[in-house]
Amino acid sequence: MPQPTTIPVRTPVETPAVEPNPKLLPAQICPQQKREMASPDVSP
Amino acid sequence: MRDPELSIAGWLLLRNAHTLRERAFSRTVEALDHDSIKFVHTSDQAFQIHPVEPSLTGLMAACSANTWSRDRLGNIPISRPGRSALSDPELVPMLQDLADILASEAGQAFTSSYYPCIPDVQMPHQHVQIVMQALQREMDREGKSRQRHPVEFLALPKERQRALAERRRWWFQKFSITPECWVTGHWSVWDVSEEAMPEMVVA
Repeated sequence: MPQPTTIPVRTPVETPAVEPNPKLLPAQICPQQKREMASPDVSP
Repeated sequence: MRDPELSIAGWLLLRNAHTLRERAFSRTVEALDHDSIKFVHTSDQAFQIHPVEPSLTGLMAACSANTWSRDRLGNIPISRPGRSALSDPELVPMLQDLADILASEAGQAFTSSYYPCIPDVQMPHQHVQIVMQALQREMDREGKSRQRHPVEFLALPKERQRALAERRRWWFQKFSITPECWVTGHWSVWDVSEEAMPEMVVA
């Protein structure tokens, strides 16, 4: 009888975790909030 | 879509603006009449002008030729009070481009692989900390209202914090606001840089 061939099992590749709720970036805030974030009360 | 702070005349002019100065000027225009112009920050005054060229630069030249309008465009408030007791002062809407650029810079401090300091700008460490706290103050407020965690400026490497604070000063300067003139509370359209809007800011 022929020997049964062994099919190698491919190890699952680990995928990078997707952050469920990525942090809020400055570019994502509204125009008015950007004007506040420029903090004109603080000297350049 | 038109920024609600921008007049229709300003909106049309902004479409044809190429430099930071032209864009800043466009944002100051409240109304254009038959032969006069009104500005956002002095909307109760109309200035008679006589443009020669039917273009944005022609309009700016005509405003510069009128002593009074030239003076008004040379003295514009930097900020205005917050809209509520809980809000902080904000840049006037005429400096929206500066606000957009600074927000983009602040984001790049977290996302760019290379984020160097500005060699010509130097400031004490204490001022860097004050700037980071001010930036965080607004991000925290926005994060709270959206129920999202904001990025943390004080968690950035020290060199990036310094680079961001230096770039902030550098960009303020492009809009004619130096630490020296900041105390006057005013800026001038005529001293805004004539370079183009940076590509990093999505229009």
